[in-house]
Amino acid sequence: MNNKKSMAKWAYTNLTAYVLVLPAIVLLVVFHLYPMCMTFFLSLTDWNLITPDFNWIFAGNYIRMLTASEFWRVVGHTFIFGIFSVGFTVLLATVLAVVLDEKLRGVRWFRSVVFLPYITPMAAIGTLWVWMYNKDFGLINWVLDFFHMPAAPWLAKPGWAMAALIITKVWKVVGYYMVILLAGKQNIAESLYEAAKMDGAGRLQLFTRVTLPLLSPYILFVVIVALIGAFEDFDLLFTMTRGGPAESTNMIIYYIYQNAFEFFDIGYASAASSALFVILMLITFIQMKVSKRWVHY
Amino acid sequence: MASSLVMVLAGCGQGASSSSSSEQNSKQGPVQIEFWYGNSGVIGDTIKDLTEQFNQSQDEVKVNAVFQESTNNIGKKLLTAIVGNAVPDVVQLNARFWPAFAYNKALLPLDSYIQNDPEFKYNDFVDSFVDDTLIEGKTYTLPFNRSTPILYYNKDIVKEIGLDSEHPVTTWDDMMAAAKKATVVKDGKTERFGYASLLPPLYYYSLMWSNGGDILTPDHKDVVIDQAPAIQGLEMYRKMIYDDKTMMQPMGGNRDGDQEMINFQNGKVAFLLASTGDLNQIQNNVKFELGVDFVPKFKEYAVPSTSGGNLAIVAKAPKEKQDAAWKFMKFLTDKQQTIYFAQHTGYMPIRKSAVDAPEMTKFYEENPFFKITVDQLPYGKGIPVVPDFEKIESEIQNALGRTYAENVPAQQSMKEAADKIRELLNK
Repeated sequence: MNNKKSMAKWAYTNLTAYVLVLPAIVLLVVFHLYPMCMTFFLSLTDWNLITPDFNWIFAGNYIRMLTASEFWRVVGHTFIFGIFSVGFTVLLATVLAVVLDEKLRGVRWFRSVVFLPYITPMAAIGTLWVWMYNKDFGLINWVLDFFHMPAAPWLAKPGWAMAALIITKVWKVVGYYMVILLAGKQNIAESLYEAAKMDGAGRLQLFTRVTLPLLSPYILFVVIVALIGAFEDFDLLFTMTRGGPAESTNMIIYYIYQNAFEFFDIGYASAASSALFVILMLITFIQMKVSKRWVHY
Repeated sequence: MASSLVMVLAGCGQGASSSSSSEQNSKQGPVQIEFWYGNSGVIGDTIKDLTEQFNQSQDEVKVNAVFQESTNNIGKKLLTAIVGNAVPDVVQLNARFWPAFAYNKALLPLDSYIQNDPEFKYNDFVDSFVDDTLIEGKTYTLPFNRSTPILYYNKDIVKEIGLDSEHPVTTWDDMMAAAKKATVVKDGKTERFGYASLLPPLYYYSLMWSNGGDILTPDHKDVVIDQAPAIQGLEMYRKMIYDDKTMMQPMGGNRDGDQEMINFQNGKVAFLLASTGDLNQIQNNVKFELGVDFVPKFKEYAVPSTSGGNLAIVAKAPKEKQDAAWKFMKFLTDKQQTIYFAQHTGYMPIRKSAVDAPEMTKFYEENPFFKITVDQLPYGKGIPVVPDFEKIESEIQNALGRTYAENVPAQQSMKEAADKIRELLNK
């Protein structure tokens, strides 16, 4: 009797919960889980989606990928781009968050300006920066020349093209991460700063001993999200370099696109997609492990 | 469902286009078919015009023309449409994509239509447009909007450096010399370049062929881009970029050729190798007197004639719609329509009878630039139709890119690309 009652109660509360999460689950399954499984299935075949029949080649695509020198070069470029763009973004966003938390005149206006590039479409930004970076008649080299600094072959030479992409990427996303860190900074209790000041802490010590440790969970979040964002930024490559010059800025996400939609090599592209998924999982996992040492909750 | 996967792969969030309903509207009203095209601007408007004319001209078929952002996008969208079983009936596909679809049996062979239709004269098509279009002995596409590279030049600069303003250069040697004269350097900074070319390999093939070089051997079994005749042009470009500093380094990125074209329009480049398809845009934007001429040569004139688009029928479409689609394609590629299209867009007429038609002759008298593009046609040549050509071309583009961007000797960059292509061919 009692048992029945509690069963009914259990069913009632749980079913309600399930019904409430159902829409989210359905969307997740249709748009994430199913395509993910499909991608993995395709990566084991030589199917190009058009032909009626396909062959199972199991690890064939993976073996081809892991033995292709291009793949490793592309992975290398992705890591270089990821590490540098995220490093600069986090540094700059932290500094901006601290500076823009001060009660200065026009600080609100400034916050908006820094945030603006983030909400501008990449296609517009890419087109604009391509012209600013133009080696012979671009604005950036004109300014450098004006100050008697040497002009740089921005998008025209391999190393420079990567630097140019990193600069544009940092400029575009720094505002967004600044806003997150700013929110984190404003969550830090004023009393902590006052206590530290009573103990005789200077400005620098306030930053290193109070702000940074208490901001660390936010910084961890920013690093993870920014890294995934950098690894998956297709628009930037598509609008600015198309992986050039001479494949020097080709990264995994663009490599996947090329193989899938230019070479119609869907199986191979799916294998590369799976590789990207694994890489991002590993990075996130490692960060979570390492973060125990430096993040204070 | 699977189409959502492709979209996730591509990282784009547009759904596959809805397509012709599968409900048969037989014996009642016209057959409804869907036509995908990818040109915007004036060209797109002309395509819509022609579709409208076709719909007005008869009552058996009604065509619904759907614009698909760009000619490259159609390839990707058609792939998703085929997976999702929601296909258009007629598509405009460029040479980068139609062979891939044809090899995979996604397009309908047109041979039976061509042979059984007495009004349709296949041999009236301009030879270089149907050159190299057979796949396994079958025809899958008809030429529609076709372009070739051409040399644009700034007449004011040409006069300034004392060359014939109607015909400044004939050979690449002339071009090198003219570029030296036309380049302006101030305080160690180049203010004006003598020459610029667009980056895609298509613009380089002309230099290969004109020198007796080629991409593949005639049997498509081996690659010959690393042999002397095919390399000479690239080595010349390298010298022009790095030794003479008379050529602007070709750039990739957003919208191939934008930077070269705009710099040319602003008088910062004297000679530009670009497509005939750009003629209208360049003509409307230059502030100087424009000149147009054949692409220079080494030994013989030669230009690729495969850029632009072809029309194809989708294999998955129902038979009734395929028949209707053929009627529409026949209309679009007919003499009168190709004249109308050529006069409104700057693309070339695709039928010999149209090239020789009196209304075209008159049009050429009024628009001499268009005449040049047609005069160059006999030197047109198709790129080889082989599976994986996209991959081969991307390797060639890398070789060009390495020479352009890193000053790598042409011999070395082409050799490395050739070795990679050999691996592909021997797979």
